[in-house]
This record gives sequence, structure tokens and C-alpha cells, in this order.
Amino acid sequence: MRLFNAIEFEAQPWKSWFEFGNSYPVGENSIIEFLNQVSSRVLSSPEARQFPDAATFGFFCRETNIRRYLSELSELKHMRGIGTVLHIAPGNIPINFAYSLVMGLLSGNSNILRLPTKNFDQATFLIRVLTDVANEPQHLEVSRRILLFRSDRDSKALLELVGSSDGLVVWGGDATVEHFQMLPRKAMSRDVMFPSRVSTAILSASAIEGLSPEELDKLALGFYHDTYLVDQNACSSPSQVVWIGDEKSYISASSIFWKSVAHQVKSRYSTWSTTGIEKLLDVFRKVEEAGRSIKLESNSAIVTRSRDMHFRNEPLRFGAFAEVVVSNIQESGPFLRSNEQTVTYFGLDKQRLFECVSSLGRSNVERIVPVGKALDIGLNWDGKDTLVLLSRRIELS
Amino acid sequence: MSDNTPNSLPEHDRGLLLALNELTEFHASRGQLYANFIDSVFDSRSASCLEEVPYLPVRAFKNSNLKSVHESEIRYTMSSSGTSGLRKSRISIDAETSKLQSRALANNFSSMFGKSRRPLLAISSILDSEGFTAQRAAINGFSALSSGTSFALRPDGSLNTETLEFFMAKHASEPFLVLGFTFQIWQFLQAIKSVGIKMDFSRALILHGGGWKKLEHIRVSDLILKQTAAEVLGCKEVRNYYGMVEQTGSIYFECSFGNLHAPIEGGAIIRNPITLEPQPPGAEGLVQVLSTIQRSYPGHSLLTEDLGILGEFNGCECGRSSSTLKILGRISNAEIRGCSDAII
Repeated sequence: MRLFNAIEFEAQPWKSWFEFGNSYPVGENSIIEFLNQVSSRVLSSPEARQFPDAATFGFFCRETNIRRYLSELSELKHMRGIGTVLHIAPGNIPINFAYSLVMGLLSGNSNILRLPTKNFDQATFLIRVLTDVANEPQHLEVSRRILLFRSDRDSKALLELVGSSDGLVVWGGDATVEHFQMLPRKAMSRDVMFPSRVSTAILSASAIEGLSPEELDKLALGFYHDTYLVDQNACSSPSQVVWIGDEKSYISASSIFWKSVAHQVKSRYSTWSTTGIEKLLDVFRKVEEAGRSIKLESNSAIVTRSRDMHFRNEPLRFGAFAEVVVSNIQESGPFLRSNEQTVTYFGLDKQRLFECVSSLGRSNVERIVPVGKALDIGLNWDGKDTLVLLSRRIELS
Repeated sequence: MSDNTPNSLPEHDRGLLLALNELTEFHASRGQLYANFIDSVFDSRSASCLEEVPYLPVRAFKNSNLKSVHESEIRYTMSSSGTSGLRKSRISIDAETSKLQSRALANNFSSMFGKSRRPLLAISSILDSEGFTAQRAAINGFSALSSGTSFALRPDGSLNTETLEFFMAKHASEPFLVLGFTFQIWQFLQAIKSVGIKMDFSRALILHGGGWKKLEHIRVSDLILKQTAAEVLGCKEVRNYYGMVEQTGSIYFECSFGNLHAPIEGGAIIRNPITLEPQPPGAEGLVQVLSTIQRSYPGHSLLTEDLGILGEFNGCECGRSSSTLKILGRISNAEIRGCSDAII
């Protein structure tokens, strides 16, 4: 494993070291052992407590978890990677790069991964752990399949790689995905694109009304992890909250829920930046577009929320939520948007939610997961089974 | 509205609150966008304490032409230098606001430095005709209070040594005023030092504003600036001011004890950047500036992107009872990204 900065990357010194185009069997033991070692290192580090997202990654890499994924694949032994996969990691979510790397490694590929320009603390921590484990002699083979780099947007070496790699994984936004789709590619290249998506939380008002203070705290913390932890920037962070219940229970449930969320933010969110100001400016622009005032449900700068149709327009970020109140699950269907990705739920039957989503003609919902799990990436993500998409199954007959 | 004013407030704040409430109503009745925004975000147009006065984020002027007078009444439009680059603020000034700005500046200046007019040496080149910027506003404003203005730099930014020598020959023996952006004053000091001219600024008052951002990377502090001015020019009076093009005239001047004082017609509130709740004196946060002289645009209550801290005690060793403010710099930008940019 090597890490190159933008200048080093441009000079392409890795060409003499990295075995470009090499592929391997899917789900090799050497990879599983490597990941398990990464897992123990992450989870035993003091940083795991500091970065809940890094800890989640640590749990994800455990051998039992990985083997569970692999056991779902049929004919695993005839599956092989496609070659060298180029990964373009997202700039907004600190540790997605690590998940992308795991997808590439497990599916039997050699991996070249572009890190986000911004140095996130938890990314720096994970890179250190990955490097340490890769440097152990027993992981030499795996280590040779990993190359991390940073580069400018217009890097020539990057363009060259896009044109010569066997697979391309791009974590968008739409603009980024479109940018890479326009670039010349190898005809046989496999592309896995993750464009912009939006997400919704569906909450049972009556279930929330009946919570004990401890249960309410736990729910609010889960919601905090889904949203404020990443400034609501992740595609799977809910920007819309659909309440199932009547008006009366909405008023009482939403009041205690948001108060509890605000409490979590006050005690956990500590980075000072322009988030509060940006949110005010977002309201300002929406008011300007609407040509009238917009009724906000709360005057707290921490949680900005509204049931006004105009408020639903993007951006909804830094703790801004469009709210909807409907009387049953079925009625929530029409409020799911065409690029809806994740539905997080509380106090509701997941099977009923699945049926509701399935009954919609034009739904693209890919995930139905409990509140608190919105950001938990798996090998099946955004409706894409990455182990299958980044490998090939050899026919033997 | 006035029913809302509790008598418990200090007299200055009570008067300020009345004037601000009047301005909020005035602008809301003349600007639909402003009215729609404050009606959306704030409980009431009429505040019962200064902390409740509705405010606009100062960047709102970057996106929209917020004005409260008819187009035909606008005398000129001022624009900010635009630190964030892309869009400049647009501030519409009518005759009345222009007059109020000049008067406020004169009052605030004379209450700190006295009424006598003195010659002004602007650390700038002669202004070109490119619009009303913060620099132009400052130089125009202070020129009006001076007995004549000279420009110390050439258009290319180099020292205009002839003008300088002429100015010094004429004015070195009397009190005079030197004005510039903080980083320009620093560059000026460096230039004088490297050219090696000896000049006597012992009777000068150097006034500088605009922030330390451009000097941060070379670690120039207030103390270093003051020491360098003393060393290079023999200048003992270096004072900072805090102001913005969105509230021209309402200037915070540094007193001889190093504290910035609120303008006579204004005040400041500190807010937590996350909760936007008002903070007690002594606590850090975003600076909200209040002023009562903006009639042509809703700029009487603005949430800036500067971090600051209000003095913990009323008054100051200098004898002024007005609240004191310390500016700590600019708050960092939130990562403004959706799922959209691997490629930044």
C-alpha cells in the first residue's frame, strides 16, 4: 500500500510498483484476514470512541460480518475480479473511501483510490491503521493491491487512469458522476456510479409519544448520527421527515422528538463554522423564491423545519427538515421523491414499509433501515451489489 | 410597539431598541422580501429587548438587492470587496442615508479623537472610478473630516515618495491622520523600512481596519504592528477600527486602552454560531451589529461572519461607558457540499 500526494501522483512513480490490471479470486482469505486485522486495530484504538463512523467501519470489517456477505454469493469459487479498479471517493463523507476500498478488495481487484482533497481527522486515522496493517509481512500480497492518492481535478495522470482502468467507482453527486461519464473509457470497463440521492425518515408519532426519556434519548442520538454528524450532507441523511399520525399526536410527538434532537446537537456538535448562517440564508432564498413568508415549525436555529411546500426545495442541510404529516404508511408513498434512496423508520413495521414502497410505480428506494442506521454502508449499497458488479463469474460447463 | 419597551433597560439601550423597532417596521413596510424573511424566522417584528431585534445575515445582500426606497431615490450603490469572491454585496444608498452616514462617522470619530480637522494621508493610490467599495467609503468618509487628503501610493502600489516628502514637509509638525487597510499599513511600514527614508510620524494617528486575515500567515499581531510603527516611523498612536460597508458610518474605534467601542448610534450582540442564541459578555461568538442610520436598505441589524467577544464590564478604563468589543477573526466556512463533489 502506498499513498501519493498530488505532485508525486502526477510523476507516476507507482507505475514501477503497482501491478496494473491484476485480478484475483473474489473473497480471498488473505483479504478477510487483512480486514479483520484492520477491524481489531480500529476498535482497540482510543480514536474509535472519538469517531463513531470509524468505529462502525471497524465493526463492518470483522471476519464474521464479511463472511456473512460472502455466504450470500452463489458460486463464489468461480468468481474473479475484473482487474484494476479506480475509485473516486466522495468529498463530503470522511470515511466512504475505506468502504469503497473494501468493495474493490473483496471483489478480487487491484485498487487505485483517489482520496478527497480535504483532510478529515477520521480519514487520517483510518489511513494510518490501513498503512500499519498493510506493512505487516503477512499482508504483503494484499498491500500490493492498494494505491491511494490525491490529485487535482484536472490531473493528467488521473485522466490517463480513467482511460486505462478496468473498473471505475465514482461516489457522486450528479455533477461528478456526469463528469466521469463523459471521459474516454476502456470499452470493457465496468462502471459503478453513485449519483446524488435524497432520503426520508418515516416516524410513528404515537410510538414516539409513548417513549421513556431514555428511549427517546437513544432515538434522538440515532437520528443525530444519521444527520448532524455529517452536516446532513450524506445522500442517506434524511432531509424529509414523514410523521405517521393525526395532527394532535404529531404536535406532541414532534415537540418532544425535536427537543431531544436539539439536546443531542447541543451536547455533541461542537465545530464552529457558518452552518447556522448558511441555514438562515437557505431560508432567505426559499422565501425569495416563494415570494411570501414561510411558516417554520420551530424558531430554533439548531433544528429548522417546516411543512411549507416551498421549504421542501433543496438545499436542506445543516439541520433543515421538510416535514409531512400523514395518517398511515400508505399515504407516505406519494411524498417519496423520484431519487429517494434511504427510508429510515421508527415505530413502524418494516414489511409494511417495503410493501408501500413496492406498490409505488416510480420508486427508487434502495434501503429501508431503522433510524440510526442511515449511514451504515454495506457491500450492497444504493441498490448495487458491489461484489457482483466489480467481478465476473466464469462459466464452467 | 413602544408598549414593548421595558423600563429596566439602560437608557442608551432603550433608545436604541425604540429606534431599531421603528426601523424594522419601516423596512418591513417598504421591502416585501425583508418583511417575508423576518416574518418567517422571527416571532415578532417588534422586539422587547435588543437580543430579539430581527436580523439579516450580512451575506443576504450578496444575493439580493434589498432596498427600502424607490429606484429613483437611490443616489449610489455601495459594494463590498467580497471576500468570498463570487458575488458582491449591493447596498443602495439614498440622500438621507448618505447624510446620516457622514454625520455618524463624524460623531463617532470626534467622540474618540476630538473635533479638530487634520490633514489625511491615505495609504492608497488616488481612487479610480470603479464603484463604491469599502476602501472608497472609508477614504471618502475620513476625507470629509480632514483638512485635505494626500495619497501615499502610486497606482501600482509602490510608494509615491514625492507626495510623501511633500506631505511631510508641510505637515510633520502638526497632528495628522494616516488611514489604510491593516495589511496596507503593514506593507507601507515594510516599504518605508526597505527604502530607508526617515520620516517623523510622532504626531500621526494611524487608523487601520479591514481585518488581520491577510497578515495571519506572516503572524503579524496588533502588538507587532504597533511596535513596528513606533520603530519605523516613531508613531505612538496606532488605532484599529471595525466597520463594514453594510453599516458605513457606524464605526467601532479602538480607544487608547486597546478596546473597540460601539458607535454612539449602535451596539453589538454576540451569538453562538450553532444555536444563534445570544451570549453573555465575555463569551465568544458571531458578532451581530446594530445601528440606527440605515433608511434606504434594511441594514440596521446584521449578523456578520466575524467572531468577537463583548467586554465583561460596562465601561472602560478610558472613561467611556459604551460597550467594548474585541474582534477575533472570521468564522470558518461550513463545507458547502451536497453529495456532489468528489472532485473539489
